[in-house]
Amino acid sequence: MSKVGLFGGTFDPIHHGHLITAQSVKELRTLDKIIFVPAFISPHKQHEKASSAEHRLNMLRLALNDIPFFECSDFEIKQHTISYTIDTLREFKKYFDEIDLIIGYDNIFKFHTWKEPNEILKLANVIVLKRKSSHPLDFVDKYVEAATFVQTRGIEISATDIRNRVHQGLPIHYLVPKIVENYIYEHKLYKA
Amino acid sequence: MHNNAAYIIPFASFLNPEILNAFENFTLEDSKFLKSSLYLNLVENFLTEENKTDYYFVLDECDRDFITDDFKIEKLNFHFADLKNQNLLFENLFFKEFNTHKNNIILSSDLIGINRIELDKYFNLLNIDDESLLIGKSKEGVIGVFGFNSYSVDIFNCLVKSDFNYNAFLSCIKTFNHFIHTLNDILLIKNIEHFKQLYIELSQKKSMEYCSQQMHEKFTHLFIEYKELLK
Repeated sequence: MSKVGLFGGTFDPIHHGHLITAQSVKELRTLDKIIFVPAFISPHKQHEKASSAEHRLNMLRLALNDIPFFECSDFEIKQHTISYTIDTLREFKKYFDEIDLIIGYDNIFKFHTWKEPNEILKLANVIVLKRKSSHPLDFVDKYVEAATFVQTRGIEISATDIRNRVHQGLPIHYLVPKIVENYIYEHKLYKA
Repeated sequence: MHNNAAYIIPFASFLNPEILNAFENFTLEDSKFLKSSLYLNLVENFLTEENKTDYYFVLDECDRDFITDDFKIEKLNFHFADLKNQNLLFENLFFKEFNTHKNNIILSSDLIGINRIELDKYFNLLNIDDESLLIGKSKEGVIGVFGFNSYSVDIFNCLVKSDFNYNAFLSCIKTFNHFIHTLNDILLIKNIEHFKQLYIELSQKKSMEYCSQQMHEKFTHLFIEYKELLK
């Protein structure tokens, strides 16, 4: 029986925090693999300017290329519209028996605002990434109750910080895989 | 007293014939023999001269009057407890030990495939400053090894509430900050499929590392007796 994790996000850019976290979840949940699914436009970040989908996808592919248990899917990017999790899950459910949907800690407290949250719970186990620095539970509703919280290693790397550092000409060594760092410089990302 | 403590717990009576549940199609006597052999294999593996660990061997209160000669081992004292009441077991019986040892590991006595060297490696995983758990689970997700480096009643409440099911335990511990190390595919002998797996494992030379020749012979007796079930 195939059991996979779906890790959605903007991944602008993919960084070591994402990779370390995903590896933790794979181990803790005994998953066959984790599929990174970059959003074309995240419903939660509609007003934020992101790098082109092509660049984000390319960076993901470069970062994940050598890791056998990580994959990347262009499903949401190919839709060319706002990426709703429920639509992605319905697609992936055609191919996988069990899906762990990996979301950030703060997202679980906004989960009731997502499109068709009850349907999401029917299709996937909701896995919430938690860090030692995470604030205590804001409240407990049925979605928090249904979710599984996994403690991940406290790697405090932020994509926003990486973009800001590049913009300011500061180094980003050790924050992203070297191959991604080269891609960012080669394509002059985050300079504008 | 050492920094590390290991607790070997059967989670059910297996010596008292009036209470013992038969293992699959085994006779009661052979069920007792299988459970005893698994238990004594751990005793044999752990009770060596050079030890950095305090061991606590637990038996069910109902087995107190049914201890066989095999269990009468020099320097080995058993702790008797009502194993049906696991909350009480974890909160009362070992409360002092859990708090006085830096690292604690509970092992199900129907576990096979572990020796003292392996156990030391498990303890090393807990030997960090951050609050950590070590969870060994079978293919079916049953927790058979549970280690921790900081005692919390709430964690044990979740463990008991989840009935040692890994996924249920994981979804119960929403508010805890413990980092979790996992050991996958440990072998707990709970049904006939596991018994078949035991046969395969013990057929390999590597099994001598965690199962002596004498213990092999005990298991071989069962393999011969129930060879039809191994097909």
